[in-house]
Amino acid sequence: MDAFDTLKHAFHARLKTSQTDQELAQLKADYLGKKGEVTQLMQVMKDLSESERPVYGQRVNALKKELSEALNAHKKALEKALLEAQLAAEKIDVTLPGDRVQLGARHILSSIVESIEDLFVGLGYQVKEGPEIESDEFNFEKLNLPKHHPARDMQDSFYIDPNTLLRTHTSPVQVRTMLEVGGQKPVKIICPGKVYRRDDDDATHSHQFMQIEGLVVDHHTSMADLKGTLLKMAQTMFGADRTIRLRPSYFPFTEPSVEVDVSCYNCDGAGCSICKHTGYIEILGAGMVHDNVLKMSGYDPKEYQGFAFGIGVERIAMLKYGIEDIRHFYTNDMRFLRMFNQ
Amino acid sequence: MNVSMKWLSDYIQSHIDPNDLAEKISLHAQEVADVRPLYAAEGLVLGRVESTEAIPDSKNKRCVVTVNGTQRTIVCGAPNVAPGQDVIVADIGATLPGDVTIQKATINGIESAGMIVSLSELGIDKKYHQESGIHVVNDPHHDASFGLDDTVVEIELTPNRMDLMSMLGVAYEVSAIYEVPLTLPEVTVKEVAKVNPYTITSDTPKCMAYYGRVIENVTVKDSPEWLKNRLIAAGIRPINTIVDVTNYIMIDLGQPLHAFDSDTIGTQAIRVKTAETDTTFQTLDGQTRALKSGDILITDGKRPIALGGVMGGLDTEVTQSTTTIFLESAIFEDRQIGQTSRRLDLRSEASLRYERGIAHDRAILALNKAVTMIQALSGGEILKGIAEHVQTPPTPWTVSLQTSRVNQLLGTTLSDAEIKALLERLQLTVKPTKETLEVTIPPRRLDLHTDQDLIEEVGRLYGYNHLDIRLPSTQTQGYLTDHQKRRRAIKSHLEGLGFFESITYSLTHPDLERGFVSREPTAVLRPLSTDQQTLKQTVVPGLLEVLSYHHARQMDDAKIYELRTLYWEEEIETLGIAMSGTSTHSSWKPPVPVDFYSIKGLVQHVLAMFNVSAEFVASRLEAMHPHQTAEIRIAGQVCGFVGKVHPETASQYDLKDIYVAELYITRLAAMSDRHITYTPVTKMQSVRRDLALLVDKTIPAGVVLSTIKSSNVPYLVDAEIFDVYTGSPLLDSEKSLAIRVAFNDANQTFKTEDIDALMDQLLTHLKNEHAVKLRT
Ligand SMILES: [Zn+2]
Repeated sequence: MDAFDTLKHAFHARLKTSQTDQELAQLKADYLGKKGEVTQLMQVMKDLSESERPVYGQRVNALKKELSEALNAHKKALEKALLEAQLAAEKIDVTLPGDRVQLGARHILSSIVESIEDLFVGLGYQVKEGPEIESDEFNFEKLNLPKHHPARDMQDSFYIDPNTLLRTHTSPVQVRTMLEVGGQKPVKIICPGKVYRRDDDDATHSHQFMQIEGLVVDHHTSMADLKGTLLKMAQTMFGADRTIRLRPSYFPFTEPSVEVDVSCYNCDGAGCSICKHTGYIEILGAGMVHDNVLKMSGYDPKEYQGFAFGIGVERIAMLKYGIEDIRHFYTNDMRFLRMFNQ
Repeated sequence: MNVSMKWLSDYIQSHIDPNDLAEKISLHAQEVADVRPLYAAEGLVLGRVESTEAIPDSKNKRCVVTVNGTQRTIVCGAPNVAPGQDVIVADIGATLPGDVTIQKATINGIESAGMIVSLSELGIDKKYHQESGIHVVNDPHHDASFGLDDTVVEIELTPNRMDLMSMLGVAYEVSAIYEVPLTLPEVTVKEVAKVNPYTITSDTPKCMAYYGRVIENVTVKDSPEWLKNRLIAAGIRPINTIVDVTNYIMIDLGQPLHAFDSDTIGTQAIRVKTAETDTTFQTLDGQTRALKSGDILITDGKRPIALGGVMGGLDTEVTQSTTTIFLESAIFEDRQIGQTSRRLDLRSEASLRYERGIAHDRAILALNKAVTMIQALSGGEILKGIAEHVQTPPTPWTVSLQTSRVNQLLGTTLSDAEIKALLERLQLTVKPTKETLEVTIPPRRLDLHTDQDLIEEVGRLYGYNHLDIRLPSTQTQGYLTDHQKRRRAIKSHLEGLGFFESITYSLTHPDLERGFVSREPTAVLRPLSTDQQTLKQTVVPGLLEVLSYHHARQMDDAKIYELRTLYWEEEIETLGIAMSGTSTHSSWKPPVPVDFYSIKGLVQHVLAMFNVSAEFVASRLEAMHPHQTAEIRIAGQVCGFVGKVHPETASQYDLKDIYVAELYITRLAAMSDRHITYTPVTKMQSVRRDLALLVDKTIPAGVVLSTIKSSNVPYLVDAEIFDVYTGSPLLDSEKSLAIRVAFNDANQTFKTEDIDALMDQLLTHLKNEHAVKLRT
């Protein structure tokens, strides 16, 4: 065993017992440092012959490399062991439940309004809004409902003063829009919003509800156009297989006026309890804009004609989901609201 | 309008199935509410009571009844059963309303074959009769079925179709829909030589026409079965022959009539006038009515005898002992009748017809038909002639219709001839000219005055379900406005963060809003309840109610919002947020309760969506926590508030630890800067420095931050508070704020000395503004 072997042996013995960075650093200094054992070996060089020197030098360098590599390998092994110990300490029970992602929900009435808005935006309509406190003029008179008109009985209203009331429909927004364009341009709008009627609240009546009205005015707007539009809406809301049926009705602001039925989505027209065995369910009112309304809104009825429709959002939701009481919409129970979010 | 199929057959002889009629009426005319048998019973037969015999120890009687020529025994408990009566027998197997099936039964040891029935047992509501015992048929020979097999089709009338408030009007419609002949009523009055002595005058244009006839020597009686059945079918209670005939004619022809006891009228000179204010009149229901100027009064020249079109007088009412009738058939102004009847709360079938408009050409027909019927039922002599006053004689009018307009509005391609044929089905006279169809409208169709009215008639008879299905050809661009899109985005963000959208009533009680808002509320004139008397001025109380609802159901972790209008001087769109419970959601890890900063974070997020920077200023609202509430200001304008609800307020809702915010979206939108400026993403690293400041405790952190941000120190791009400390070893008046600032410049990397210099500059500025000290 020469000095090299002895040194190597001693180094590995110390390496084996080194457990910390500090010990390793000390070991490195003791052997590979400026005054380390390996460096000391070089002191012998000057006593060697010219021919022995290169061989000896290579041996020292080889030893230096060997020890250095052993040192690094040991250091890495130590680090790895340390990390593993640390990870082991971080062991968790992966079967415990995760944090709940708590999502809220859009109100079902808003969702229905938005889906109808989307349909009509796709068909080239704009969404118009207006005030909920309206003048008698815009809510009634400009819609062909002068004071003392018998149909005013049909919509008993919340007045604030003799000329101001909570709007009973979103039709005044239509009037405002027509007046805005000054009777010169086509109009194609839907008007969603809250409306109010003096009805006592019960399972089927609400003094406040949501309505969406639609209006198209142009040179050649016809009842056939109305029919196609309503069919599209009915199919969007109740399914692609639905058909519609128009029945005569009366609204002061339209003529002809119709009630619109959709074929029953439950029995497909065969008759069931939902459609009261008629095969059809009434969903909305519509008609061709009355000449008087066009005139009061600045249009010449000889040049322009239009259609309008109005739909109760609560009614649609109740039909679509079989909701039995209109008051549920205004209770805002989170369990109720959550049900309609897909 | 209840349509008796039997009654209809007076005018339409073609066979029509009631269910088919209901469907056709609903598709071409008006909504049909119901189709039902007049008597909801089957297996009824007519019987004659031959003899009755008391059964010992029972109130029942053993009756021998002849049915279809055969005698049978029926045990009957009705006290009014008596020999000689014609009665209705529910035969074995008959069904009565309420799922009653008649079976052979042994009563008091006697086998009873069927049941003698009362009207109530036949399902006739007590409002139509006063009978307590079995029903005695008073005219068994009029009609083999005694009206028992009638069906009622109930039509719901819209205000424009008042022409359908008569059987004749319905018959016109049925004839048009089915294209079957209509038999118009014809009346021959058999008058005696004695002349009707009455004269009529009128002082008011509100009486368009007034006709009167006299019939003497009548006997007021119970009406025959067929008449009573028709009235019951129409929804009217039979009284006696005279009253019943006036009601019958009103339903039949739509013309209200009034019968006076002629002997009680002081004169024979009827004078129609309008009432003077502050006079009274006793109507036949015994009530004294306060009159107003404008009410139409029928007088005998000296005193009022009827409130025209609304109700007769008590003094001149027909009674059982009346023998001479003065029968009125008049046309009064619709609006006045509406006003009077509404004011006095005296709305009747008659006033309703006047109010909505009656055919102006049937007054004489109605009068003649009525006296003929009275004569047939109650005997008597009809005096010669009609007393009359005619202010405005009924005249037809003409409407011009263009085929092109019909087709444009309906989207059809109908020819002149087709349109003419459709209108002629309604018995309108159509004269084609070169360019138009001239349509003559009879006074019975008061709803037809414009070409649009006629287009509706063409459309509904043609059938709306035969129209083409198209979409409007109008080329327009559809889109949501930026604000509408942003509104949806706000909702989606909040919902993603766990919030549920609420929609609440707009009407509230002002007390609930006290402490959140101090504006003068807007009240509605006739609220339905005190809880719904004013319009909302704040979103918060409504949300507290929703939280309270959930608390009562053990759901205390509730996060809700509402985007709604508030009704200030202007309507203002407002976002309300309310939260309670925790901001983390694990079933087993310790929860982190929500606090002021949870909701403030949300508010800041929404503000960022509008790209506005707001100031949060500690402020006081009575209903809010005095030290955990901030007003939100943008450029000096109040845009909302955020904070904790005052524990006293919360406890009124049985709640605690509730955080709420209200943001005035209308104002945010007005100030929103949505302009986007592009700057390249910097390649240089920002240099961060931490600053530990000692400041006076009363200086809000936000103020220090904004001082830093407005310091004009170059390259300063961000400042963030990362620690707040009070307590030992600091003085009581001090707090420590740890702030991290960041410097960045796209064109250089900073040297340490550069940053030191910038920090010095910043510190100097802070010292000048707030007397801060550097914490060491
Ligand atoms: Zn069905």
